[in-house]
Amino acid sequence: MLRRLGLTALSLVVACLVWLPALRLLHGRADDAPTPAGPVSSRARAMAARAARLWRDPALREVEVARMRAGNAEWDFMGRTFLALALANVALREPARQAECLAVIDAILDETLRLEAERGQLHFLLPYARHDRFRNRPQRSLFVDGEVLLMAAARRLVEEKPDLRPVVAERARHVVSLLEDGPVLCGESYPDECWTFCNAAALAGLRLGDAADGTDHRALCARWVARARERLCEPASGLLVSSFHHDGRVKDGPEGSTIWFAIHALWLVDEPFAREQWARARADLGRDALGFGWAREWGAGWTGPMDIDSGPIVPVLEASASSSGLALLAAATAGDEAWLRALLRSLDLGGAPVTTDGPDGPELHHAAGNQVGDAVVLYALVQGPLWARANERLR
Amino acid sequence: MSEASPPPPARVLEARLLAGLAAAIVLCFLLLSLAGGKEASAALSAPAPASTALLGLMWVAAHLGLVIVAPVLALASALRLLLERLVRPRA
Repeated sequence: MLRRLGLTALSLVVACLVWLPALRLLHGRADDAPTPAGPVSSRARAMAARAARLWRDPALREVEVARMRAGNAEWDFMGRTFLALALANVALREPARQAECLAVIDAILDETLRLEAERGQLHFLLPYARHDRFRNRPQRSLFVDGEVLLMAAARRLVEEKPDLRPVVAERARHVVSLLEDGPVLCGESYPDECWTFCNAAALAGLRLGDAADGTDHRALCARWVARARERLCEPASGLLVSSFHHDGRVKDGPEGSTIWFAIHALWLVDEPFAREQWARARADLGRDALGFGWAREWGAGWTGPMDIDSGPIVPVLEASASSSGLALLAAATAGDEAWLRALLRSLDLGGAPVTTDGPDGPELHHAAGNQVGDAVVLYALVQGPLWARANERLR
Repeated sequence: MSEASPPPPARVLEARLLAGLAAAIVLCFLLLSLAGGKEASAALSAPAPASTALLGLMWVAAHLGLVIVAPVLALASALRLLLERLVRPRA
């Protein structure tokens, strides 16, 4: 009996040793890792085709937007930002597709600005934004202003559009005002609630605006980084916290779903600081095994409350879907090809990829995800040229 | 009067059990896919009725079982037979 059990156990162990390391060969694609400036990968091309069709097909978009807004109105807005930034990079990588990409970016911007004008910035925020007043005088959200600035400035860096010059100038003024108005040089995304994600996005937007218009917000950016080091880094890990009150009191510690994007955005603002945050986050939150990668939402020293942004967390592994998706962006920015490929293998394994034939070729989306998640992945796969163009002009 | 057939050797039973478990996982996955489980997995990233969310979660689990667990069980089943043959004392 014992002998039989032992042989069965041995069979299972050997089978695991053979199969589990081989799993990585069935996931991921050969051309997955993005080059700094080359053509887009097959995966990115298929994802871009699907995302662009969503914007050209009002019925399809309405279903997808309604699905996201049912969970979180922010995702509707962020999905626009990530897609616009992704398509800006696609246009820079493949000039032959520039007109097509810019048409979608312009459609995104036009509709976003129209909705904001008609329904106010609160349209893109969660309902609790209506329960209190902003501490800033103009009653504005840095989340909305910062990302509109990012999109508009990005579009102008691909190809100038005179209509967007006043948009960039106005949003830059709002961003500066919101930052300067804050006791810790940070702006609110919600009443008395600041997010590092949104502040980093706003700073990146200012720098893109500087590249487009020849303005110079380096001094403000340097002051922000200095203040962040002093007031917004968690002592144990050295990582930027994710949310805090307007006066700087911390609400939530470092979170993967915040820090990875902040790293990407701050790469344009203060690369040494961003690299430092990357090294810390990679060590604290990044994981991989057998060729598959994932990211934790919280590090060893901190566990925060589950919120809608954290997404589902796989127990034992503590793998967060949101953190892992955004980690792709940071890994691509930092040039960590090995971990980027490992994260993409995990996406193939757990994201339920769906490939269909579209009017412009194969289309790819992830059934277990949503439009904003796919937009983040697409952006991670194509990022690089936009930041590079901005840096060229900022020198 | 005919004699009752002898039971299959233990090695066959255990190998069959492992192979049977692998087959059950594959069957589960196929049934859940036919029931729309892949589409229902969208419930992991957006609000959905509880039944849809459950279907989606079960499909994801079955998919991971199909890709990770079923091949291990199938391979272990074959190895079990091979090992028994290698270590069986000769008559």
